[in-house]
Amino acid sequence: MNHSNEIKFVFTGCVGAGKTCAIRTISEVDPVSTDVKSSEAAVLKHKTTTTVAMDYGYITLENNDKLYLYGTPGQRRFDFMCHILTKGALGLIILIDNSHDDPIAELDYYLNLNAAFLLENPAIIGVTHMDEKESPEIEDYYHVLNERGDEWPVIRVDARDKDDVNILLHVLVAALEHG
Amino acid sequence: MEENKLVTLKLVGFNESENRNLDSILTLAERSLTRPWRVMETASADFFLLSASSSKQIDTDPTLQKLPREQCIFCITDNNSINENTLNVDANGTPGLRALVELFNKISEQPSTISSQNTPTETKPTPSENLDFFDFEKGFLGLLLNTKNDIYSVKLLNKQDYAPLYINNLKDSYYSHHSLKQLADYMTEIENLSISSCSEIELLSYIKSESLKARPLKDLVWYATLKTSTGKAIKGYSSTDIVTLTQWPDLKLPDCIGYAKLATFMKNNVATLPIIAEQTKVPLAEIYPFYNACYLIGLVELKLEIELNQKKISTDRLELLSKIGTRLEQ
Repeated sequence: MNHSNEIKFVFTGCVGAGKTCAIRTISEVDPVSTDVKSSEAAVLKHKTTTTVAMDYGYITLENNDKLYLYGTPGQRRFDFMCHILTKGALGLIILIDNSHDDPIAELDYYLNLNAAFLLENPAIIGVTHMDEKESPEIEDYYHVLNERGDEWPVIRVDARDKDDVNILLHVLVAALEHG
Repeated sequence: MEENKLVTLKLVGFNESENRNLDSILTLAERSLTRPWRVMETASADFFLLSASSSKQIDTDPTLQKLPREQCIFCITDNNSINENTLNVDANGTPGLRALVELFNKISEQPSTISSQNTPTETKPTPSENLDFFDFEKGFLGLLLNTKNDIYSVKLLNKQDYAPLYINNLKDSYYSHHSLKQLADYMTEIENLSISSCSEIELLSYIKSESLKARPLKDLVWYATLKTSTGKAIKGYSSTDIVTLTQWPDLKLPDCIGYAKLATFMKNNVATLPIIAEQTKVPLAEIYPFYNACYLIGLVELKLEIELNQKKISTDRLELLSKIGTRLEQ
């Protein structure tokens, strides 16, 4: 399957950040998810199953064009999928679980992992689970981005909320036009 | 009488907290008053507003007896006064906004009450006071921005089911059961607002009993600016100002997502608002409320030189983005 010629956005981020959920929230079809029982200790701490290859859904545009939505696996051993899936993507949505032990380090990690892609393409940061843990705050994420010299917008989101996921995609489209 | 002539007011017999309340009420009332009113510390003034207790002593207190009776406004806590210029106040000495506006407008039109010596000579509006500008120092926003170092509650008199909004300027926070969208009524129905000072202990007790969380005051300022700018640029703005955004606004705030394109452009470019309008195809009347809101919460930086970083995008790509944007709005 060649993913590079498609019109697509890619959701990435740590385990439990809500990538599968976000795609399910907005996709017109039940997303194809390749979940299996978790094996990594870090994953087991958060959930019993996790994505190992990718999540996949879409929304239909005018003329029946499709905007594909891909989710990368959260486990570090599948990081190579990130590079495969982002090839030809319009932009990247990085979801960070704020209840993670070190969410700021996670953001740093995913920005580094996708550094080559982000040289040419935009990203948006969605921070999830802020209802469970309020710290770090959005300002803290901006502080890290400023230190790195990155200017991506950061938005608090609930991956189960269609409006929230819509906002992420909307801002990403704005960044593609004016970023 | 000449329009825009300043009417001066001296407060008599009010304590510090009551003075602050009256200041807030006057700020709120500004938009509805036919002439500008200012509280003065000087001995003379066009009118003297007497507290409820001073009003009762007007015939017995030698100092109060010296005040010109026709220039006195008497605060009363009941309706049994025989004096003409009376203003009903609550137990905290605070008048209702509507009653104050009605009385002040009536008496400021009376002939011969306004002393020419109290009227500043520079009554002609300066460019920044032109009505075409958004005056953020008036109305609800003026209340939020001008009342510093203070804790107070704001109630909507015509909506008894609306819980009070509490503002804590000391902690840049506000407390309310209502969403920002619901609070829009507070921002636009200023004639129905009642303001009362409260102590930190009272506030803590209220937020504990109502299980309220502190919310950032800047969100309230942001939304109030969007709701009240009415397509006008903020007072002090110049079309030659070269600006950029130092940080992203919270794009999740109500009505903010419509400004995503503008926010992105202003974050990545340095330009005047007319240039921004031209580049983004967003009309200036839509840009102003967003700019005003960003300005008032400190996200705007003035620069010396224009710097456009806009990359060239193919027509096909623009069409695709337009299609995606349209689909997301469905």
